[in-house]
Amino acid sequence: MSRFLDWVDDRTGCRRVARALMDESLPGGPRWRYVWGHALGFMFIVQIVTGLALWTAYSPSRTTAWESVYHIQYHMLGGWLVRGVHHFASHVTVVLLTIHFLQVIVYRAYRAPREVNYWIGLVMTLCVLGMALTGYWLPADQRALASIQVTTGLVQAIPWVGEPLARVMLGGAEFGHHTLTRAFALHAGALPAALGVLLLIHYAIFRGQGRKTPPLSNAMLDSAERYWPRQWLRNIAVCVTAAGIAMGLVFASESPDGTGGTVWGAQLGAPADEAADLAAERPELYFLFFNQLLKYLAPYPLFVGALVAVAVLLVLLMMPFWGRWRVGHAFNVLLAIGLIGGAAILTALGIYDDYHGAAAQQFLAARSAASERAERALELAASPQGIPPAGMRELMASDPLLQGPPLFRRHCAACHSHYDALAEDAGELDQDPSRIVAAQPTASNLWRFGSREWVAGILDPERIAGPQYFGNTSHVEMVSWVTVNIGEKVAELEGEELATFRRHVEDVTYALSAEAELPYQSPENGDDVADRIAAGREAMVSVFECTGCHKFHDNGELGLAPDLTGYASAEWLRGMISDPTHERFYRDTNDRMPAFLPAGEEARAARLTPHELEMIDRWLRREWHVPGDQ
Amino acid sequence: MLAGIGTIAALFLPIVFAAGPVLDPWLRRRRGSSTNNGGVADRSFVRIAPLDALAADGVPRFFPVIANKMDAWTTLPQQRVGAIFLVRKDDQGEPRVAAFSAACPHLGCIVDFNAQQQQFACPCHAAAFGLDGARVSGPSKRGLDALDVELRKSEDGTAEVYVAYQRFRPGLDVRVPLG
Repeated sequence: MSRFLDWVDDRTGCRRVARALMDESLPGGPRWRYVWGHALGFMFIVQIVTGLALWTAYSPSRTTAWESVYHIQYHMLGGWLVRGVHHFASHVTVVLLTIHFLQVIVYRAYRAPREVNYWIGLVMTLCVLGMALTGYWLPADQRALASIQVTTGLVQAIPWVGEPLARVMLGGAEFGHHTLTRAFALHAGALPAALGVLLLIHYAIFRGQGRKTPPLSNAMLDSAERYWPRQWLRNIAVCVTAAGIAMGLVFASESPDGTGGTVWGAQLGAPADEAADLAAERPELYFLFFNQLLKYLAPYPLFVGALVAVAVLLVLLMMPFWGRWRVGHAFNVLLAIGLIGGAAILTALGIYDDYHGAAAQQFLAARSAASERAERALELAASPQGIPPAGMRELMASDPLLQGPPLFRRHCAACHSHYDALAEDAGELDQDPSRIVAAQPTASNLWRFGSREWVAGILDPERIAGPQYFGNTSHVEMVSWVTVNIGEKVAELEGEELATFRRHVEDVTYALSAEAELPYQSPENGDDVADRIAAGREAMVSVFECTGCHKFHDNGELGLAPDLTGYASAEWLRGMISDPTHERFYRDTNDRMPAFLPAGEEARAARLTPHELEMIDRWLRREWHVPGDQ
Repeated sequence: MLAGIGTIAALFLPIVFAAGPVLDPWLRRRRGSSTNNGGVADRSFVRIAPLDALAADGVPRFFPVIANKMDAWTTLPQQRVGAIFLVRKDDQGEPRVAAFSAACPHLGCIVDFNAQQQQFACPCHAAAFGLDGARVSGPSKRGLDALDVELRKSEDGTAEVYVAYQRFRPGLDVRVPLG
């Protein structure tokens, strides 16, 4: 072994280097405060190692970034751990940087002849912040998008160069593939390379200048000690502790994994979507102070915020010049403490504002909507269908559960509600996230439209005349028919006859709701009710004579009232929403419902695209992926 | 001296070469052929609807702006890149169509038309605009962004509404084109 080392040493001189590193004389003996620079160096190594591991699985583009991070986090062996450590190590690094900076200021290590090394340190800090910023853009989730938009806005506000710079940063006019490829090139290429080179220079200058500015006191020289082993041990202890804290934070944060379980580590929000709400998104904790500062600066033009940042940086750069004098140094110490304290206070205010401020309610609502969306994204990604080649954007855009409610709100909710009115009247609060209540309902409540319960309501004389059905519509004929032929009949009949009549009505609810072929009602429409469905079909023709106005399979004719064949089925709904004035539906008796996707000449002024219509259709029929379904 | 200049030139050579792709999004925009332009090339007219689909009653109607969207190597066909309101109010039989971007000039939310109040209203921060797009109340610093309209004949001779769709930076009192 020693012969081998001799051989290597002969050709490289590595022993001399190692000895130079370890034999450094420490005047005054080992100190805990000498460890911070080394701890930062160690965190850089941790980030390179974990970063390279992530690089082997990350793919920057709008169709693969979120998807590959999802795969790392939820499917790769230990992916969550590596990503989590990489994420939280950046937090630890920012804390260590703060300590290192304070130490340099307090112990006058920024003054001549160390000002150049101090400046290098500031540039390195900028590199670290740049990596932190671009780092949380890479997953391309909602938070990344929010941060990209805020950052771009700030950059654009810079006079003259802002606009071109923002374009170069985004790789175009807006967030796209090239935003991610560029952020990745900075995050994993340019910035760490620059940081690595600067780190070597920083260390070389530091070693060349020694830890203390001469002259050193005799007492310090007397107590001088070699670097190895006692200082080395302290370094190792702090490095291990720092990495340990990063790992501890991984295990301290748990989030749902979309299949009913949970996973540890860094969060992953919903995939970036410009159309979705970004009100819930906040930057990483260590940028929160700046976010809060921007809030206070909101009344002024945006570049004032950028100006403040540049001004602070300039003052920090100039510190060595007046730091020579006692008063100047005292000012610098106070300024450093003030800046760090100020940032801490702004961070606290930011958090307080969000959770207890005037807009806390909106923020919390947005927060819970955002986490629901994120969870849904995970559910869809974990569904048997999986992530298609076009990525999550396509998967999210074709999920009725996500697309239905906003479309319904925009196009339908001026007239139709969508909530469980029976349960709410009974005092139960509807927990369904798709609860939509029209302010002034002028059409039927479409909650579980076409289901057995819904049909039972329209055949109930009281309910059909109420606001949940036709009470506020012009469909008075149906209301009066139910009032006369069901309401008055029930009042008239007694005993056995009444029971038979009621059973007929119930049979109709079985038969008509079976037409819809609702997936959530298919277990209830099994073989055991086949005879009731058949009886209901028969009753619709012979007992109630629905077919006097409505067409129903082979009986009745189109033209007077909507076709009941396939009532509320996917195809029926599509037709009805497309054009309620079609002869299959309401013709000239249509109330106020617009044709959302008319055929022929008018098609070009359609209010819905075929895809949007399908989303509303499937959402009303509650056809969406539920975790655990196959 | 020569060696010094040579060294600097040698160092700058790769940087000059590398600048091409890095600055592409900015340089290409100046030539008007960006591959990520937010959906619509600068001030190019997009077909919105046939003129006949628009009643000449002065009531604003909402139309999505559909165009192919480029994102570097991906073409997203027929995407909704924005939304506008068209208002048609003819002048002695001569069709007159005005277009407003539906993006609120405050922060970019999509405004609705409130028929009862005869105002455009933004659901996000309650900015309100008159029928002519002028600012009525709320936090916006300017009125709705009016867009250029052209009536063009289609192949079968019917008139069609084309609009130069553009986005403008929100939050300012002046219109600064975006992208």
